[in-house]
Amino acid sequence: MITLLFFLSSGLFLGWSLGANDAANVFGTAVGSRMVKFRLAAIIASLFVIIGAIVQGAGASETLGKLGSVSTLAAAFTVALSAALTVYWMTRLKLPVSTSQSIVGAIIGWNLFTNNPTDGHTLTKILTTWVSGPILGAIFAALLYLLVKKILEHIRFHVFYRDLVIRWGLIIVGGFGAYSLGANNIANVMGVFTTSVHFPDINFGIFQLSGTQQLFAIGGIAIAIGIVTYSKELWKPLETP
Amino acid sequence: MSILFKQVKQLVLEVDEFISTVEQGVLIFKQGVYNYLDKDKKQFYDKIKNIERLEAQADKLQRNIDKELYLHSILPQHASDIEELIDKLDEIIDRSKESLYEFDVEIPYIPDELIRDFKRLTDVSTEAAMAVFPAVSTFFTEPSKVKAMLPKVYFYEKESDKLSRNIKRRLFHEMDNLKLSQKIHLRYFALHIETISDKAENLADFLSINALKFNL
Repeated sequence: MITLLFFLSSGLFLGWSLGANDAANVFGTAVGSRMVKFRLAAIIASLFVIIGAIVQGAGASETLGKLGSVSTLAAAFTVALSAALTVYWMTRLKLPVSTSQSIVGAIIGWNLFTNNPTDGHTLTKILTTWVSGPILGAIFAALLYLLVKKILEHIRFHVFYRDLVIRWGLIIVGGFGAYSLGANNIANVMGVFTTSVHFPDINFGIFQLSGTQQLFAIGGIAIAIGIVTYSKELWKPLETP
Repeated sequence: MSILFKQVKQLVLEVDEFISTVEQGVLIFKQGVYNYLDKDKKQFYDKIKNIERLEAQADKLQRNIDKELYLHSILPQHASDIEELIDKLDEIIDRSKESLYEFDVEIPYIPDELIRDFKRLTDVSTEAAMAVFPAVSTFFTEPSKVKAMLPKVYFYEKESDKLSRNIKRRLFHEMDNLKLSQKIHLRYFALHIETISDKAENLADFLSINALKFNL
């Protein structure tokens, strides 16, 4: 058990770094603009990150697993620690960093070190998302801005009620963003451990948690601790003047 | 952080009540000046009491609005703008009350031939203020429409300037029967009345700039 915890610690460290670093993407503007208080944002983000990781974390984990062979616990520990150190270092420098890029880099590095092949098709797929992600984000931002502007032009809203609606919108979207963060990024945190760590399934009566889901829940809690303990500093650069 | 509908609704009601209080104050000011010019002392003192009550009410509302804005962090990025807007509105009722006090304390002698001119100046100056109040209400609901409502304010302010200048010209060019001290005294009363429209113009300028900021 102690050995398992020791090897998992690098993944938990990576999860903590991810929480500290990536929560700014979800709630940074809401907190930076003082529309949502940090405490409320941290609670919602933590809760939904864990739910996202447990409910929908398996998909991205599968894609990442195809990138290379990280089949032993020691290998998973090394890869996760490499990525964690990268993310932690960048976080210390107050630079928002991509955990996906760090873990992909760490897996490729491990593949090179152990003379294992890197799956070109999967790598291309991942690289494509790095290019398409920001472009899609920009397109969605522009379209949604135009849509919201049009709606507000046609609805007679007192500015105080508008503030209230925007505030609730930020909380709901933040919750959704945190859920997606958990679902998408838990693979970066715990994905490398799925082949080497096997927990028995737990049946809670109304639902059942598989071994992988338990692993993701632990990773999700590590992310949540990162959000609560260290993310506040990184939200400051996103503050609007 | 304000996420409760009830708190926001309370603030909306207070802002509406504040605008309405200032508006009533301007109407009372206008009637008070008329009462003074018509030498109706009883009514004049009644108006002073009314405007004192309204001004105190406006101050209380202003304090509440400021407190609510910051306590519940409503419109955090624009709270200081709202505060400034409320402050500029408050200046109008403050000035109205002060002007009536000046009539009460200094008891200016107004010759019969100038009474019509002073009444006309009071009408036009208060009209500028009355034109800015709907723009303030619209500022909170449809900021994009505010700019179209402001030319009326500027028009009445310019008219008020002209009328005030005309009174001063008549005082110093035509009314040789008055002492210089009386002329200077009346000159200041024309200025006091005209100041209401100047305050309305200040508020209109503020609305014109900030309406752009409040549009998404």
